[in-house]
Amino acid sequence: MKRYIFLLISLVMAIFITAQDETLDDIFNESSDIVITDNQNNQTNQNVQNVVQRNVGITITGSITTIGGITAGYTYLPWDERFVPQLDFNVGLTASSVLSLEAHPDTYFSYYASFGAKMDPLSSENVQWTNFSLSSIYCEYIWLDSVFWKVGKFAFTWGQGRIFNPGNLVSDSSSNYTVMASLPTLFSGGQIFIELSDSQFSSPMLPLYTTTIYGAKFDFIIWNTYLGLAGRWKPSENLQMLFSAKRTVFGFDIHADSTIKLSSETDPVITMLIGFYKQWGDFHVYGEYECTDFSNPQHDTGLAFGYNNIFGVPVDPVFKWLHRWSDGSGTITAGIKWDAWNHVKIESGISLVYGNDTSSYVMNNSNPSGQRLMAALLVTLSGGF
Amino acid sequence: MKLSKFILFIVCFLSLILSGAASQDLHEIQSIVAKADEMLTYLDTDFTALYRIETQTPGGGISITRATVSRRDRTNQFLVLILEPVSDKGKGYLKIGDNLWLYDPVGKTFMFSNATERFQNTSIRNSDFDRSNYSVNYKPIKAEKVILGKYNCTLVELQAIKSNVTFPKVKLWIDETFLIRKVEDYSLSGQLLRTTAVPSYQKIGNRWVPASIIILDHLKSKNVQGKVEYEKTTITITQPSLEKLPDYVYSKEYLEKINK
Repeated sequence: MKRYIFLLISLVMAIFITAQDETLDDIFNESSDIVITDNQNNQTNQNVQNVVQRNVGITITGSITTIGGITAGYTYLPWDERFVPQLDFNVGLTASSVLSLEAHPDTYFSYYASFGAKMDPLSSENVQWTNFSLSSIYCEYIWLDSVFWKVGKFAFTWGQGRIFNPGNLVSDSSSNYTVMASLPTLFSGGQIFIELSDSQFSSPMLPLYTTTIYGAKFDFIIWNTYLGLAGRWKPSENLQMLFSAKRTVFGFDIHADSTIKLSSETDPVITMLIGFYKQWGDFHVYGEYECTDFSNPQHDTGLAFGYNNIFGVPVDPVFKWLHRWSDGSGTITAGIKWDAWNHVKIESGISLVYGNDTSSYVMNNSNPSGQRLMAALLVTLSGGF
Repeated sequence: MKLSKFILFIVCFLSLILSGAASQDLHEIQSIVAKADEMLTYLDTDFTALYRIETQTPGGGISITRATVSRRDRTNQFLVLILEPVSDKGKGYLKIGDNLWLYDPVGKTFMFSNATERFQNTSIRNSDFDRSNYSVNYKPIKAEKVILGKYNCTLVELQAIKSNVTFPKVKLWIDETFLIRKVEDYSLSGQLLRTTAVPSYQKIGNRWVPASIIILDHLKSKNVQGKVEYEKTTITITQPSLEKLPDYVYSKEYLEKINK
């Protein structure tokens, strides 16, 4: 009997709850349509085209960032016989500022320049800022709605890796002078460029054309798979090529890069990178495997995941594990990032570096005092206009 | 024996007539859906507008995203550029054919995405920025005349005939001017997943563009003081333009160019 009463109550409650469901039908009693006049339409066309095509005249922006922090840790891990149970503390303070100018006199031409200055009182032992130096300067010109010319000093990247990126054969681009023609509507995009560097003018013994870097990259989409083919050639050195592929498989973004460095004196050097990325709402995870130099292979893997705004508050937990299988070394980093107040970010985490003294990750350990087990607290104050 | 053959003949005859009538009805319904698609498709030009997307979580806070949306229906392309919030400014969604690219201006990286995924973690699916294509992706099951507020509508039930659509079943409320006023999206099992209302359209010349869209996400609900509240997303579309844009706007290079 009690069971029937319970069922009856549940049924009534279910009906009641269903009856209380939010619906949208009521809004159709009062709604009405709008007619836009020709004058409004002309004004609108101009406004929205300005937004989409960034015809914003001259824009000056700037930002300043100050980071202060403290670390505490041990030089050796607790299971190492050299471990001394005494915490080693370090403090740090840096500041940097960037000023940039962007001008769009019209839809087809734009100009951009940015300058940066830094201060690092604890390592440079003074509180003087460096002079503002040129970070990038270039102009862009859209030719016949088909070719984007970009001329000047600017950084650009190749390769798809988020953790390791052997495919970035143009990592020195930020310090060179580049003339680039991008072809956005050819295939799925393409670019051709030449790069000039300071060093080729300081050694005039070699003809200029042999020390200039020539490059091209073309993208294709075939059967819903992205394919990229790129090459970088410096006549005085060698030809380097990049082959890329990317596809979504069961909702996972799968990418692969392979590079080949050809040389007349040695065997070709081949690298391979395979990785994945997936996001479920605010949770995201990515992982990569890299094999460098097939003739003397080094195998590296990386796995990282994070969560944005956990529990609905502006706190992001993150985790990252890097491991080199060839020598058994690696790092594990876990931490949180908290957007505490406007302009203020607090980061806290622990870092563990493992492996023998001559292993890759221990030799390249960038923690203060080479600490292998370390906790850190960083406070960042930043703002811009 | 003769009687039974006669009855069989009558039954077959009536079946033929009825099935013919039904198929004629389905053709009529199909033409209504095609006309509704046509009303919101701009094959001869581009569509660009500013979108303000306000998402209200059930019993919780409000988040606002502003974006520009550019669409070229004849080539199945769209570009969505995030303007706000500041943390996402410069993010871009570029669809070329069946391929959707997500651009992250911080890492300057592109990512392939499945078009059925949510836009900026809201109730909007990335596929919602596509042209209206119900008449191609779905087949009509049945239709009836209904009243929706002050509108006399045809309520059409559709079932997907293509596997790559976001929802396998939908119901459309199409008014007498062939504008879609309301959409309900269902799972294969018939569970209501999402309700979309378009209470207001704006007319530019002889073309119609939604002015406001309200979406209730039935997968994100909460019982607040005895009332079931769903995540509610209100999209306000302003400054609609049907001016042509250059081809390069729908390219990865352009996304990189405008994110210096």
